[in-house]
Amino acid sequence: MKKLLFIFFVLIVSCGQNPENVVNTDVLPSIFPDYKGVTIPVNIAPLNFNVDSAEYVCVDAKGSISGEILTKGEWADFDIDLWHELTQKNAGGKISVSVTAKKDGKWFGYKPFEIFISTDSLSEYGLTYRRIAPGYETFSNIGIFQRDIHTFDEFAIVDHTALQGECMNCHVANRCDPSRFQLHIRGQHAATLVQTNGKRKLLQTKTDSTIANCMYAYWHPSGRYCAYSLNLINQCFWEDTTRYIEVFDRASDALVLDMEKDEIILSPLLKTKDFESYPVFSADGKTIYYCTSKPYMDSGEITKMRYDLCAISFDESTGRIGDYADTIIHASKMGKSITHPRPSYDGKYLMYSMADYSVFPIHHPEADLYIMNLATGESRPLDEVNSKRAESFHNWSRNSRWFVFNSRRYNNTNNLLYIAHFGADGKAGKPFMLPQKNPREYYHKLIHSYNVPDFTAEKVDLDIRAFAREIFSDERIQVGVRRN
Amino acid sequence: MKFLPAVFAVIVFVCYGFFYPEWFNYHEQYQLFLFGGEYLAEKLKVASGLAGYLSEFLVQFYFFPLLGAALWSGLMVLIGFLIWNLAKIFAADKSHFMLSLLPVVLLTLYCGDQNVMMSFPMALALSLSFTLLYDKISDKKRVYLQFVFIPIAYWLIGYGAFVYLALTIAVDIKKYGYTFLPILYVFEIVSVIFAVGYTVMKQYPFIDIVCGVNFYRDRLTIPFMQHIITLSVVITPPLISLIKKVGKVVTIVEAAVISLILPLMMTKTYDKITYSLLKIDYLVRFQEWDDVIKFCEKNPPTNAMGCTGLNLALAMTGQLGERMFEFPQCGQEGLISRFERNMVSCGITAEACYYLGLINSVLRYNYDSQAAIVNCNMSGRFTRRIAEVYMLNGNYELAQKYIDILKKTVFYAPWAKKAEACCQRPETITQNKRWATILRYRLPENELFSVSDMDMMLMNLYKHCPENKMALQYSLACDLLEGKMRQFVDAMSQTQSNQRIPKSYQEALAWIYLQQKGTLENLPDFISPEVKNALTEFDRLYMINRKNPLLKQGSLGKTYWRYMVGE
Repeated sequence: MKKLLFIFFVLIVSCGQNPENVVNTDVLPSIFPDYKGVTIPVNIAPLNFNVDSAEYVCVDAKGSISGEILTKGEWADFDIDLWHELTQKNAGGKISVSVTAKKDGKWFGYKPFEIFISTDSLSEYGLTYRRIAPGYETFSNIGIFQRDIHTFDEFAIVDHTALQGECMNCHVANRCDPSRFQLHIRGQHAATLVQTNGKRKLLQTKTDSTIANCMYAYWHPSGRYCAYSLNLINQCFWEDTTRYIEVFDRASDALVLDMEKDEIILSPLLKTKDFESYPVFSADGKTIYYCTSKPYMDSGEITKMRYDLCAISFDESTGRIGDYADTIIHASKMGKSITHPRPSYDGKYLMYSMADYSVFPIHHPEADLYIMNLATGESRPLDEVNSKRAESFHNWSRNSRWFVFNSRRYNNTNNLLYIAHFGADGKAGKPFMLPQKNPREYYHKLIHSYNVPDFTAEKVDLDIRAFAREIFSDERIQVGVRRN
Repeated sequence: MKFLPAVFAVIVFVCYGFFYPEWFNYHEQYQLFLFGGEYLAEKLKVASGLAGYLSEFLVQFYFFPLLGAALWSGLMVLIGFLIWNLAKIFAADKSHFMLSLLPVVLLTLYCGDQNVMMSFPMALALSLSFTLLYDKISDKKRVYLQFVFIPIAYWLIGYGAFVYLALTIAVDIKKYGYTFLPILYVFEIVSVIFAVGYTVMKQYPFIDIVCGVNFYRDRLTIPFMQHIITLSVVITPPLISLIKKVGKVVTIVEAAVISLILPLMMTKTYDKITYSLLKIDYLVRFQEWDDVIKFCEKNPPTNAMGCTGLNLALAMTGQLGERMFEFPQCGQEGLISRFERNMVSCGITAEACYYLGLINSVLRYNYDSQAAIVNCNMSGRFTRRIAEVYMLNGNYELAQKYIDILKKTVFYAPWAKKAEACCQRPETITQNKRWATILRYRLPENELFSVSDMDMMLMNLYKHCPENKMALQYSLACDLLEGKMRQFVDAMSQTQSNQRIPKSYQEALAWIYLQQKGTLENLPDFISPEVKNALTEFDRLYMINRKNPLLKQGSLGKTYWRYMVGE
């Protein structure tokens, strides 16, 4: 049947233009996105690409183990089923992609490039993320979406049509498990939604003992607790040709929320005069990593805001936060600022962003991803994936063999999603941009940015109308306070 | 009698085209109609998409208010004619033709709420047209075709399908008598609504799916008047048929009442303050500086947005220092206001930043204004400025993204093509006088936009490029409005040449002199005798009674001192 399908496909393809008088060159084709040498998982959506200045392309993708598919058209547009089959057949091998392109009426043949197929699986359904139209202080066109990474299908989990006028952010699942997630609604009807096995509750997380609502979240592996930072966020604006905005905190603390008792657990070590932010649990749930900086209140001092990486113990059985905080990386001494720590779920590594200053690296071109080996404590920049533009907001796949991150490398403005392989040897593969049916057209027309991406094992299910009713009802569970 | 609709059309045209051009500007600037199948497909993804698409097609021509007024009056008269044609099916007498315009008058007054989307009248026009088309089918079996027509009508015109449903049922009853079919029609449309709500529009609240997703700009609000007008459109055709034939005189009286009621009611129902602000915004957008000032002389601004427009116009005509206190002021917020989370208030501030050379702020205010458009439309006005800033910042690829969008429009395409040519040959950017000026004005690296030190930031702009006199005017105005006397005197000493000092500055300097010396004796020569005399009089009255109404009147009421002492 598959052979018949292939023959049928070849027949269809052969109906298009055929290269004639091809001028063979010794250079690689200039393609968008740059998929040359990337490492991909089996069954990922086809890596369709456009060839610069080409009117028509003929592309032959040949597996190093077996299989071959052809495509012709204005851009390389592979059939999804055939592509999946090719990646399955060549797991552990590579696909050699030969491009022949028609430019100004002449055909040019290019040196083939390779796409490596990892044996490490990425079996997750897809990605979740916030997609947001550009804005600094207000947002109407906003939504939390999910994308099937094996196809090009995208679905809204909740968007502005359901909750007009409400800002929404930080959809965070517990280790990619969509049966347990939280997200925040901001504005007039503010709430923190916690959905566990289809049951929703809306929490009011601001208390008399805390400075703000819960913000950046990270689940404890048990699912009982969630670590949060509380941030009084401020912005200032550059009159500059390359920088536009700086996001900083006027104050921030960290805490743990007990999801069973709806109580926040406060520790004086996470609620100091310094700023604490981005708390996350280690893979075994016994440690909380977080970032901390000396406080600077004035926007004129934002370039002094540098965050170190710290750790403090956590006892799951009692919900008690430790009595001693340890500084893991003194980034401020290096003139750097660490944010977004993300321990791998296998407990071996911790990935973080590092910029020259700031708590919000997304607007910092120098912001890069770093990886720390938790066994040795050694850190290094992830040069395999970094670019001259900002990299940030990364998250791991369940098996810790893949990670997704934001990067502004495309045009220095739109945050787009990239996925990279992370090998057992601690080295990352070349990342690939989230595939699209017609990438050039899609990304050129795209006005939105992608925020806070994460993998999701299954499709997220949220009863949107019931959720909207609950949000507009303003009935909330007020969290209690427990002191360490 | 045939000329009566024409009279009505002319009245609508004149009322809107000449008295409310800002109404057209408001509608046009909060949408961006794009030619091409992709945009049409995007619009048709939701129920009532065709009404939305056609209305946006129409509204793009509002770029020119007089053209917009012609189209608008045409649409209104068309709706009247459609109602009349339906009334004829019910055997209405032609002497009551003008009564078919009654729902149109209501609709026109309702549209005085600037957030009523044009898709609502468009949906009404389409629903009436569909009904008349349905009635063209002479075969009685048409009643069964309704099962096909109803879902299509719902998808194309959404809420308007209820008008279609009600009128076609009424027409069928009139022609064929009562049947059980209407019950099935209602059952069908309810089923369609549920099917749509649980499939393609599952993110939308049901109230929107029933009442229309694009009939009012803020979907959280569905004005009751929408239902009243819809009802009036449905009941008018059969009701007219119930009224007996009347003579010519009565017909003329009907015509006169209906024609006059519109302009009379418009002045009452159109909110004066709102439309004053929309007028200033419109005039600022098209750089009609003298008209802004003239308008504000008759309608003094009452809030920061109005003051921002007025002060920008004064600065652009070099009169800010001379005349700013002739008008009410709102402090620094009346120069460059902080962003407020609405789509209206910061369009003018963005323009002020544009002419000052604060181009990243232009980007910010335009992005935020666009993001604040509650129905998530794009705006041609804002998109154009966004593209412009990216081009001036040298990010041509990103500028091209927005230029490509604008190239699919009618009225922004010529600009987009010019900008595209500049992106392809950046050295030609400075051939545009305004862009060259902005590039000279813009601040060097590492400058933070600061609200608390706005005067300093503006002074830095001036120092960076002394040609930027507007920045100097704004900086000094900022000091005056915020009562920063020391900074004002310092700035004056650094920047003023031997030219005559503008009146407001003289007033401030005289005021400072009086505060420091306690007398106006030996006042420096650069302060005119008129200012000295006026301050003497002001001081005398003030010392007698701080609440003396004379302090607010005449020339004394238009001085810096008046602003400083407040109420």
